[in-house]
Amino acid sequence: MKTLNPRIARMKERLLSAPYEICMARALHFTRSYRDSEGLDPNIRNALALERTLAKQNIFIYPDEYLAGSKTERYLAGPLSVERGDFLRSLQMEMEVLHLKQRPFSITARDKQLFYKEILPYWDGRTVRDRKAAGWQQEELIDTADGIIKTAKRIINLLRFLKGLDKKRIRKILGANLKAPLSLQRLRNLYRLRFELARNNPTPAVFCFDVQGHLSLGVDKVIKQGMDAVIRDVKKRMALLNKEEPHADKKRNFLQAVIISLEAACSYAERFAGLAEKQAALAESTQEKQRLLTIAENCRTVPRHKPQTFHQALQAAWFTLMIGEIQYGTHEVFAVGRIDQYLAHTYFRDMEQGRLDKAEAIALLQEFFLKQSANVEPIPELGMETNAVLGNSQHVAVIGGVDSRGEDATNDLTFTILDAFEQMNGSLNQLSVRISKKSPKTLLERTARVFRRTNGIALYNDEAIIPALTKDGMTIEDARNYCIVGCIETSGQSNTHGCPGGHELVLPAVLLLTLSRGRRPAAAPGQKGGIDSGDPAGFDTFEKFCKALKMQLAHHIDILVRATESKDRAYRDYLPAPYVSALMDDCIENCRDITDGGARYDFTSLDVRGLATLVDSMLAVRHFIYDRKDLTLVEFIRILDDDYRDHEVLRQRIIHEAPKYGAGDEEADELAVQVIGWIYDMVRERRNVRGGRYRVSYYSYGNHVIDGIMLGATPDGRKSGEPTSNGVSPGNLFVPNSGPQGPMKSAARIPAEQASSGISLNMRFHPGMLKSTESVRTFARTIQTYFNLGGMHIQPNVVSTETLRKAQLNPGAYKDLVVKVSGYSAYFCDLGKSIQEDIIARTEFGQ
Amino acid sequence: MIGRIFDISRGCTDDGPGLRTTVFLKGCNLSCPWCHNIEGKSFEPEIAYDVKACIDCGLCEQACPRQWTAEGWRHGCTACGTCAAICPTRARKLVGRDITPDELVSEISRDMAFFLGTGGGVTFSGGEPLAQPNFLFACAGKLKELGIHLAVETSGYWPNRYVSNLVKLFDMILFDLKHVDPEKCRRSLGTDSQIALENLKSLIRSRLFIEVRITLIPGFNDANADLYAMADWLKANPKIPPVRIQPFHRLAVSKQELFQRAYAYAYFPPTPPARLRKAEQIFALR
Repeated sequence: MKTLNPRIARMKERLLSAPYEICMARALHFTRSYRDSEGLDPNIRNALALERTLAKQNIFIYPDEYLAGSKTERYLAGPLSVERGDFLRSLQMEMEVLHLKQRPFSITARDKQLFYKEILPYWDGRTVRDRKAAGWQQEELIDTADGIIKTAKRIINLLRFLKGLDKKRIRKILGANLKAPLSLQRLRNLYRLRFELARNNPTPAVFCFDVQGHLSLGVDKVIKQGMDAVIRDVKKRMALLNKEEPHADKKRNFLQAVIISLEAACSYAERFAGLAEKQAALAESTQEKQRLLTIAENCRTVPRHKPQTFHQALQAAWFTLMIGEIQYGTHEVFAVGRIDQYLAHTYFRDMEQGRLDKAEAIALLQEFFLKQSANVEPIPELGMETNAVLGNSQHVAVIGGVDSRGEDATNDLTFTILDAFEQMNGSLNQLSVRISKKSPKTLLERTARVFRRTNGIALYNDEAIIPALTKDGMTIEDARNYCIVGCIETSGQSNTHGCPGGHELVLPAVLLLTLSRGRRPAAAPGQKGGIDSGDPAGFDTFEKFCKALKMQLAHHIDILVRATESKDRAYRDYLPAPYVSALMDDCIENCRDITDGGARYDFTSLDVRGLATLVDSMLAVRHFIYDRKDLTLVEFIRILDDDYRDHEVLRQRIIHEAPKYGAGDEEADELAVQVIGWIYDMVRERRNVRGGRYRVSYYSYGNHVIDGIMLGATPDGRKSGEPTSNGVSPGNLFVPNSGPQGPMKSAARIPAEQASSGISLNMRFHPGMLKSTESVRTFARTIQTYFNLGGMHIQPNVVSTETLRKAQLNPGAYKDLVVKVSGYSAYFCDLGKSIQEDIIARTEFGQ
Repeated sequence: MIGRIFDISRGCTDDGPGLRTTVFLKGCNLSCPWCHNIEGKSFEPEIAYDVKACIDCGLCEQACPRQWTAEGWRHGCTACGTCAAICPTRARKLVGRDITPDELVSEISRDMAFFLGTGGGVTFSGGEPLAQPNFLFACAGKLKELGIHLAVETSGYWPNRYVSNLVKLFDMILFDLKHVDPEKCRRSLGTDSQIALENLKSLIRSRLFIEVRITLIPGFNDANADLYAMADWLKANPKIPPVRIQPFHRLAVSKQELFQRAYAYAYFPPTPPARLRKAEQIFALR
């Protein structure tokens, strides 16, 4: 069963060679629906917009498909969220250069016209982004008011900001924008967008994007009972509503919106059934006819009713997720959850009754995975440097682990899914494997064997994660049933609104602000810098230096929390998600949307980046400034400002002589644990607008490369423009000869409860590590040892530098080479050059 | 007691079971011209110089206590290590440091969790580890007390009385068999094959786990006749140890520059895969 089913091979080839397109259908229907529903309850408005889109959008069934469901009107395009604002702005910024991008997008003239004439004007000032930014302006987190003096100051700041960037970096940031001629339309767009950077980053060290982040959508519910049953529950709840109770109207509206959304989802499936029947009537071969009739029957059954077969269960899962994407307007948000658990029932029944054989099951699973990677999104050019366009999906599926009673949950389907994943060699969806002490040894070894063929799997440790989740307030049963969302974030399954992504703190920037009294990196237009944390000349002990750093850190965490609150209020008041809430535990009982705290568990996670860069910098400062007293801090800062020019000797000494995080060096790791402790202490008592706790995670997807482009030299020897460290991995510059156990030992020291939202340890291994059965076992046991020491997560990339270099030179031959970036998987050749280089620069173990 | 090592490599998977730390002892009593650990041959410390890592800061030149002559830095170099200590990029490295068994053990035992977790341990390699027998046995004794799995990689050219110590302290021997032909050995290694074969016989008779490793050396032992001779010799033993055939590679070529020493086998091609498979078949046919 090593060769790929020819049907799947054709579908994969089609996906990998399809052109990228932009589809305006969803954007247009949402715009028109919102325009018509002014004044209604926001829940109802959202449901109506979804209903309209699902009813009007053209649908397609593509060749070879056994799972129906197209999310846009184009073969390869993403549903565009306009109401959130981020994609609206990035499209506005780059609409005129879409065809010039590194990976060009096509858009029809009509769609473009609609965008400028109808969509853009309506949403101006109404998006979450605009409302969020208005809140920031009001709270004086940013300053976007106009005025002669302010504008002049801004221009000076902008020049200072640009001065820090060399030409190469400006080219990276602007990308395709430099290639196109400046038209009036572009100038107008750019002028309007002059504060957009500040609307993501209120300060140079704080990111607060417009998304609310990843969650696990209740796919298991749809499979267990069908949407009709949920609708019945909602109606029951509605009947119980007492007119006298507080907010009765609001509650009724919410429940009504849920019904509209779910009904719309069911009707959407039925449209596919109708289409399949129509096409079946015209089909030429009986095989084709049979295929279409199967689709028709499946789409008549699910998601409205409980699926009767494995095939229907997968169809139900796909509809649930896909409609979630259409509702939310992005494919980045929803996780698949514990797929080997909720599909197990139909899988085993079909197998027993002889309705399904393993090869068929594998092909269906592969199609399900492929459909999830059929995503592209037009991200701004800077994002391109670090992000993959194709298949940038956060549909994380989880297998293995323990069940809610704490017993091993691994079953035959777990291994079938691994088979499917391995055979496909580079489907992009992130597969996460939970490992517990109760898991059979074969699970870890089987997983390790998959790495011989492809990357893309991340491994999680139940023994570290479950206790951390109970400390966050989850019941032990729910904690045991955790799944992974987004990149590496932990979440309850179908019961948690965790908001784990989009609120980010850049530690190296905090450090640089400390060293410059809050002045550098220079603020972009509208941004505010850091605070004055004291003159570095006065930091005569390492403790004083740390105190100033903590002060700067506290300031930025405060800004980050306030910025997030403003965004969360905008979501709560203007953009709820009734479709998602419908499938989330406790929302119906509470009659509240997830954005209003309706879910059983509610959190906000702050995502912290650049840990190793900060810690290594602190270690270097301690070693050279305070212990050896080779130079003063002020001298050192001057050298950093000069990007180590004429001080290569010092830089090399820092790289080779100073202690480093990530080598299993206890003293160095102690400092990392201390920094994590500071951050945890600063957020543990805070509560978000929905009353949920704040949690912390340490991962960086590709953004450590963007941070690197924007930031000047750091005391760890990193030069200006180079990437900062990713996740909780060691920095790229130098890792002492520690073997793979070094980074593992360091990461295992991070207390799980202080980083309960997740950590990401990226490690690259030479394929020689897996060449024999014996070495596969060693590899598996090495990971098991890391987990026994308390490690939460690891995602290995097993690929040699040589292969990566070849792929850069000849992308055509390596189209499906998958790598883990820092949390998410990507097709290597689809990545921007900077992040490719970052991955190559990571230490390769076992060479 | 002091021993001299030239490297400690953590996270190895090729030198025995599990994840291992390999300690390379400096100095070898043989002088095989194809040896890829050229820095392991001499018992004396040496300075390696990596021109690619050098940033021409000139600190080494200023610090050198000898006369730094125009002919090059090696002239009159006593490998005192002053330049290596000051080199900011580690382009100059002192290869060969003296270490006591206690220091070595404390450095190694930090990875204890991984040794136990993966069934790994410590492998002594070189050079020829048994060329520093007292140091080797002292280290092994201390590591054994900690319960670490121990292996040693050896060519077998040492007095037969070491066998009892090896049996007492080690769990595994990686026996690097050069050849069984006495004449060929005399010509290339400068010594007869007899000592090694006697020692291998004794080891095979003991309860130790022996893995015989044969590296295919072009023109020395990679012809079919040579391989059959070795296979026949092994077959004649009461217990036939597992054999691992290793291809010839030219990794040492890059070290020529570091040590400014010519590598005699630089122009031999690496073993072709077909040759490797054939050799494996010969030993599998036993």
